[in-house]
Amino acid sequence: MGLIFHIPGIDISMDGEARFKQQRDEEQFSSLICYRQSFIICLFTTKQLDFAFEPNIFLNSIRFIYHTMLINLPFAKLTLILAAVVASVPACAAVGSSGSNDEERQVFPRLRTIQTRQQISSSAAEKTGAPQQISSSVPEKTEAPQQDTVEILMEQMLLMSMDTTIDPTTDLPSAPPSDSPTESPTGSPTELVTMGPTTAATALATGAPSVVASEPIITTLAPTQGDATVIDTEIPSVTPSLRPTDAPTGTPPTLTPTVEGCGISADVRRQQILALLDSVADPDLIRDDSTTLGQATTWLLENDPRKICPGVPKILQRWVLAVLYFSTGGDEWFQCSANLLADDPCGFEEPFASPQKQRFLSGFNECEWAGITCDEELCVTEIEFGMSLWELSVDRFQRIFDCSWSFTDCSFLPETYMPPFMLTTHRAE
Amino acid sequence: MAGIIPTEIGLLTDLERWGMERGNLTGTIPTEIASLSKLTFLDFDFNQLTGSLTTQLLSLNLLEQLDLNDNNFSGSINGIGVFPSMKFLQVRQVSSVSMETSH
Repeated sequence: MGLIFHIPGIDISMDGEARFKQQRDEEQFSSLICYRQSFIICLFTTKQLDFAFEPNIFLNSIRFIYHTMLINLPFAKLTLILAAVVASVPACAAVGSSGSNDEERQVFPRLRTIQTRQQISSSAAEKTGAPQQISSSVPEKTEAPQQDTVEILMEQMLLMSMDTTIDPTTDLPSAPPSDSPTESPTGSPTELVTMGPTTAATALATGAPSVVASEPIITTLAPTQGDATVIDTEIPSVTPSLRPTDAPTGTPPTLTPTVEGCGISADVRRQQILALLDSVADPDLIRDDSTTLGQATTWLLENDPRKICPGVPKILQRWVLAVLYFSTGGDEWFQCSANLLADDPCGFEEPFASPQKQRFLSGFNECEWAGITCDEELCVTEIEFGMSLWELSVDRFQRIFDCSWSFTDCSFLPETYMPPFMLTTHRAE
Repeated sequence: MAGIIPTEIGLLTDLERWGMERGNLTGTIPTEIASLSKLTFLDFDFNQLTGSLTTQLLSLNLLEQLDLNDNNFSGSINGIGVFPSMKFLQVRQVSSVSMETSH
């Protein structure tokens, strides 16, 4: 098993805010593959021509590795990391492959002091169809952002990965977010409405009703000054009947609430949905909330804001996607999780920004959920949500850091070095 | 993204592309994948999937790209070259998996 560590590009925006730019297009990914021996070997790789033409991403990724090493090395007992750049640039052989040495030394002023015990022979293999030339090169010209900024960013990443004292509940919203925007009133109310009865008259049933209406009827609904009083002295002129005249003949009204739009009661809806799910899944499991099937079922029956009716044709696919969510730890997803504590801006970052996607299990049609694509008939045709680069980076960085620190938890790294590109490609005739 | 691949995915019979790469998925690829007859793209690389590469994969006649590298599969998969539409296949660093092509 190999470890691959995708380093996202670092986009220094105009206002100086540094943030990681996710690269969904795998053709532009860079990789850090680490292996464990008596030291750690890491290979930094690029895959495609386009990536090599992104000097900022390229060099900042290298810097990331380099700073990681520098920060780790002083604390490591026996950690030796070798970075090798393997660029696969089909038409990039002329893009200054040899002229970059000086620049590399500037980027890695201390890299040459790192002892290495093994030379890494590297080759590259790509996912693309056409065979490609392989050459080791880096871009000739770079316009990387200032190193200070990058250093600060790296330190922030380290702190993020190291700080275990952070209370995850801090600064989190105390209440679930509302789908509907709310605005607080800005002005004072102009009318005061009292709480007193306004329309319900007090009926006094007397044995000998009489009409007494000598007093004026004063009804103030919207007083403008002071407390309002409602005085209704109207006395009914008809004696109320205390005895029912006709016994009810129809079905007594049910107290079970109906599901809006479904035309059936909530119980009937539940039964019909469960019957549908029984036909495709284990009846016991879908009724067991400790299982992912049960959690998805409970969500569909009770918590789905969309309140799907049993007759909706796509109800099954919505449930399946909910099963997928709970089966893959959806509440822990870094992006577009349904977890109310998640504070990522779902739909505003790639790969879920264009088109803008919604959180999983939200009240939108499931075709609008992140990572889901449907056809014209709203049937799910695509599921695509690999671990985001940011999530992967933080996770893997933490593991590499822990390994480098103590060298005791490096089991996730292969023990021996192997050529990282054992690619088998089959191409149809 | 950690957990297992639910067998209920097989109910999404219109699924054409399925990618859940770079996660911590464990367990096996469910045999119900054979129901996804429209599948052209399947990518589970960089997970912790185990077991043998199910022969049900071979029933996916429209499959054009299969990316399963960097998992913990075992065993062998015979006749993987029979994919009539295959354009890309990557199973690098899949430990203990031998492949036999029949093309």
